[in-house]
Amino acid sequence: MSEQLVSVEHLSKHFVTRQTLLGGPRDILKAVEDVSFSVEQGETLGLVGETGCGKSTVGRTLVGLYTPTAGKVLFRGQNVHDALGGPLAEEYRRKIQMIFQDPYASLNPRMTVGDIVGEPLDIHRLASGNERQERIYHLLEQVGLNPEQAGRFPHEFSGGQRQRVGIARALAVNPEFIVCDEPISALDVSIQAQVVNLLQQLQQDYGLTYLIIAHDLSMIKHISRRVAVMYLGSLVELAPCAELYANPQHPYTQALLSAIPIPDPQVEASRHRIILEGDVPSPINPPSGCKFHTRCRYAFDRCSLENPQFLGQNKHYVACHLVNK
Amino acid sequence: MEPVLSVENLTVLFHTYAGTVQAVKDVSFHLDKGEILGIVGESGCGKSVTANAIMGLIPSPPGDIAAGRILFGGSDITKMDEASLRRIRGNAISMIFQDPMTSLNPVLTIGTQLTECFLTHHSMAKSAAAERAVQMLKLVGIPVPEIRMKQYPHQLSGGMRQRVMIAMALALDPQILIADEPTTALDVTVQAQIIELMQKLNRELDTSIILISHDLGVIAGLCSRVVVMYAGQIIETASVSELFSNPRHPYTHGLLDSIPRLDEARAHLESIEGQPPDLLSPPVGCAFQPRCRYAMRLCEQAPPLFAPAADHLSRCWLEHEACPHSLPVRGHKAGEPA
Repeated sequence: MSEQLVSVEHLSKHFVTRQTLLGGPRDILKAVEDVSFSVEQGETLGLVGETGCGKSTVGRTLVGLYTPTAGKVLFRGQNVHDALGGPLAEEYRRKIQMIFQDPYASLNPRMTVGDIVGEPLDIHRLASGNERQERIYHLLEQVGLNPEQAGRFPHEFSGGQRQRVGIARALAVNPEFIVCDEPISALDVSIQAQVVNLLQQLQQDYGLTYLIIAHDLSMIKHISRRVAVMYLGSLVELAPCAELYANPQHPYTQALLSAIPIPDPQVEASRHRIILEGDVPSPINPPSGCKFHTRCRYAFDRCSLENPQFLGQNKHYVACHLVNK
Repeated sequence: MEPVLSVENLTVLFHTYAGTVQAVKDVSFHLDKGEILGIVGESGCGKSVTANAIMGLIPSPPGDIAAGRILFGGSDITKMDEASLRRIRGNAISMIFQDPMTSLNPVLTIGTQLTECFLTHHSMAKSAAAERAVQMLKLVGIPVPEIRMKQYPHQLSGGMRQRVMIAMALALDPQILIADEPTTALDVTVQAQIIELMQKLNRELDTSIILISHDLGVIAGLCSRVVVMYAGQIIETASVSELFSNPRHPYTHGLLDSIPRLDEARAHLESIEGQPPDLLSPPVGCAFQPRCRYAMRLCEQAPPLFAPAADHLSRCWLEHEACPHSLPVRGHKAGEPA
């Protein structure tokens, strides 16, 4: 079994969304509730779920953009959030990088692409002068951009090219672990495959470990070794990729998989779709017990009373009373 | 059978400071009664501009319908004045937009917005209009519609808002519904709900639907015929089964090869290199030629639409009878269940 690079233990992240004038009861949005998983060295872990399920919050907490409300994130056994306050902060910021969803909003429009990719080198004092320039050219080449374009500004690039700039910036500091938050969802269909192939190529070349956050389950199936499914702030299922898609255990995962359209009219015509009734409940006031019980077609008494544990065997974990009898 | 709508040689230009953009170039297609026609393409390929032209929503200036006709019920929409357009919009042809958040008025209740179309197009008592509005909300599957009528858009979830948009679009029983990326802003489980709803409405009300999408999965599940657009032109048209099992244009081929499928494993995705052309200065000849792996010298001349099979059109020189090459048969067998 491979070594665990990152492990997340009972991670929770709450946001205070409203405070009454008199300091009365406040609304607390429980974006992430008691989430535990680990990422193995060199693997790609896919984290999927619908809007508002907390998957981006997990990603942002992992890279240190948020501090957890409870629980911890370990990187090679060392608590990341403790380290970020201490002398090792720079080292952790270097080893853990992030690629953002929106290639339009995540690049400074007033910096040239060369400076955007070079900035991490300056901050971490990794290269200067000619060496810095060489590094930038090399990085741009690595992600399939022309080094001659280093003097251009982000607006001169298309969405796919901007995403490549974002990838080059993340690679600049030789990271070990990259959190990719919806790296392709803002791109056109024909460009998505280019970026996915690039991410896979870089993983091979540099032995990178990825946590890829996405809502596109077809793409996640293509790139991940293991997949974790979130619903309303909690993990509901985690399994090796092939296992999860062939044998989904949690009713939510089953519905999610059945909802994805397949680009083939004959297959589509004969598919049975599980339509979930209603909407995702508010994370400010989530349902008691299993958070999915309000929409689950198998729900029984125990589901509304008791929160199911996240248990499993053979690397297939499920949080469901029906499965974990 | 007489089509409900036919678009003939439509060309739409936008005159901008940077130059003239050919957003839609010589586009022709028709929509039959009760069918769901899909228009697929990437951003900037002209699919939404085509839809807006059908609704008479091209602002002029900078927009300019330079050529072509859009025939609906014997008259040409492109020649109509604003008053006649207003009678058609919402009444005979209506539209659902991509983003249900920005296409509803945030300061009016759902009820006010829904009854507005009854009051505008039919002289109807307010109470009767409200009753009809509640019926429409029921039809699109909104629970307790009486309460929803009094609520504002921000009190509804994304899926609910899109249902309200659909209710509004269908309120006056239009002959044609244009859905411009109706599920793109929604989660997959909500998308499945909306797709099911559109299928049901098409079956029960016999509404003809034009579905604009970039998601080939949604297209495969809903449509009977598909138009593929690239850089403002139609590059392929076929029935949905034909298009997915036997695509003839290298671009369609490339698109199908570049998307991962839930029901099969691929070691490597075949991406289409390069990026869509800038329509301010489109490439010479075939617009796809700079990205096409089958490009030949001839491709520097614009190809016409060839008809390789019955009801199948492809804008590619590979279909010319004198062309010695042909597209390889696609790697996997479409239509084979996983």
